[in-house]
Amino acid sequence: MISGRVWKFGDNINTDLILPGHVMFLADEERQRYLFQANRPEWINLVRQGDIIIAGQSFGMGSSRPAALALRNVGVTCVIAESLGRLFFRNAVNFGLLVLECPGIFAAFEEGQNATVSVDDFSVRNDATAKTLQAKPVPKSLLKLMLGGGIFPVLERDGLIASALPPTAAKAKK
Amino acid sequence: MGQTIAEKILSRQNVASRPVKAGDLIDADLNGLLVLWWPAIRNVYKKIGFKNGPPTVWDKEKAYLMLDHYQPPVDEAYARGNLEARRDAARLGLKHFYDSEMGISHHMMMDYGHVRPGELLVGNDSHVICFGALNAAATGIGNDEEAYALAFGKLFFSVPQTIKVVLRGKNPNYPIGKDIILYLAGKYSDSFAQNRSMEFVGPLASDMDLATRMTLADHAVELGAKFGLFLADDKTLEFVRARTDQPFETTAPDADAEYVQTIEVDCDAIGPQVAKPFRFDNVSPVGEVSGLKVDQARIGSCANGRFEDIEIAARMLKGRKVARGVRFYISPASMAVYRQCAEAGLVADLIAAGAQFQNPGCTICGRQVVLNEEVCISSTTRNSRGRMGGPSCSDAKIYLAGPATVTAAAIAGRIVDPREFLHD
Repeated sequence: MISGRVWKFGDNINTDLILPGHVMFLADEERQRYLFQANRPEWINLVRQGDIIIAGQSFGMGSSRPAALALRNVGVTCVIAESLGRLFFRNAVNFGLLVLECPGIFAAFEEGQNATVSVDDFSVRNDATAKTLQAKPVPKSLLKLMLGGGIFPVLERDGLIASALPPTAAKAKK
Repeated sequence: MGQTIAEKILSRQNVASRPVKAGDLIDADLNGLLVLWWPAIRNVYKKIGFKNGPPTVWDKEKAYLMLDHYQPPVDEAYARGNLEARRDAARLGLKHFYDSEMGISHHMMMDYGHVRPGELLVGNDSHVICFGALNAAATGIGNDEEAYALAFGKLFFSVPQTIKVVLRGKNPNYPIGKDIILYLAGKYSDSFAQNRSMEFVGPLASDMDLATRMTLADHAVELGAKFGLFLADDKTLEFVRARTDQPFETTAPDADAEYVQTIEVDCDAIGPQVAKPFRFDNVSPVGEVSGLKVDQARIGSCANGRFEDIEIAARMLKGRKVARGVRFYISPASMAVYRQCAEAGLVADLIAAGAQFQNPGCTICGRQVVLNEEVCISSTTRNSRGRMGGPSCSDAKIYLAGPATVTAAAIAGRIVDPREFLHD
């Protein structure tokens, strides 16, 4: 179960809004300060670890830039939208951010209410109204990546790539 | 049941060697991988313990490393990224490395013969989808996944449903690709092809030149699509065979392929279209915005930076000048296109008429600033808030239009129907 405070964003929140192109070359920690700067500049100061984003149609449409990573890094644990941009979805899988498509979700929540998401049955509950919606299931293999921290942490745990342990620890291991 | 182009290509590339249908989730072998943003890819490897970048790549001949977007570098970090790529390309023994060449990498891929009909390619830029103009299934991925693909040469794909778009009508005497795609966005919304493949077919699709097909295939992503595909015909084969002797398998849909939607478009009835701020689907016919004064006009980007997109500007400006107070910028999609324009005398003519040529590349579509007080009409890819100049320029007004409409605005100093300049 994932539970958190809801932020609402509307339709067509594209990657130019989520993560502007001109900060592409900054380090991850600096880059994420620019989240939603064009449409909601105060948000970055208000978001907390564990928050959930609920959005309208086509959240994340647009470019390949690592918008999902930036959202995860500032504490967002889940994005639930009426529909998702396909490249944003792929990025979310690979960067380890839980994202779900859930028709009807936008109208079911007011900003600031609490949402509880089950990754077993993909239900989304509004804790304030007790209304429950059904998100579209994510295939198991992709869910494993989303919940496991993304593509490389999962490969590492599966023993498919060398561990990224600090150099001293790696040496001691040998 | 027959198969769509997407289903055929993904069946052929399916790791499990089984035919696929829409809805299947598969692993597929890649025919090619376009790698850009090398410092970002290198960084992914660094994070997982390879401090000097990838130790090896899956296939030295199928990974195409191109340093593009903003060349030559104007800051040290970007130049250093080029240097690291140069060293890594040599160390890894990459056969195809384009060293900080000015241009847009996805167009360089086509210009250098690295995109062939029937292939499956990906790259870490959303607009690699434009390879569909050459009958190749291509789509964008993010950097972490790009690093993964570089090591393993295969990725998961959900096999998309397909929307068939039947294009009818005559080629007008100006490039019409942008007008068609904006019309589709305006009518069906900018997400109606979300996660789907689009097949552009019909008599006009056959009649149109490759540049126009590239505009449509490129912009399929602005409608949310995974692939934007054309059939391979004589024009395709002539272009591809002049550039590569690698074998390939052109791919057409079966007659009984299943489509989620079929759209018939009478392109004669469309006319010039304009996307108003700040959405790709906020579209109206040019007449509804005519009279609006513009400060900048731009032709370029992966959507409209080919020879034909620049030739129309030269043709319309013959005997005319760019209006005072308008900055008219032109950026060819690649050095190959630039050369073609130079050889045809277009560069000299356009400069004489008051246009400004800038480096081939992506600057014109994003980094180049439009201030909040300004209006820009542009043939580039996107018009969302802050697209040109970042969040502090989020009120800058970007209108998207085809190159004829952009040129007409550059001549008139305001948005006008380009057809009034096309009769003589």
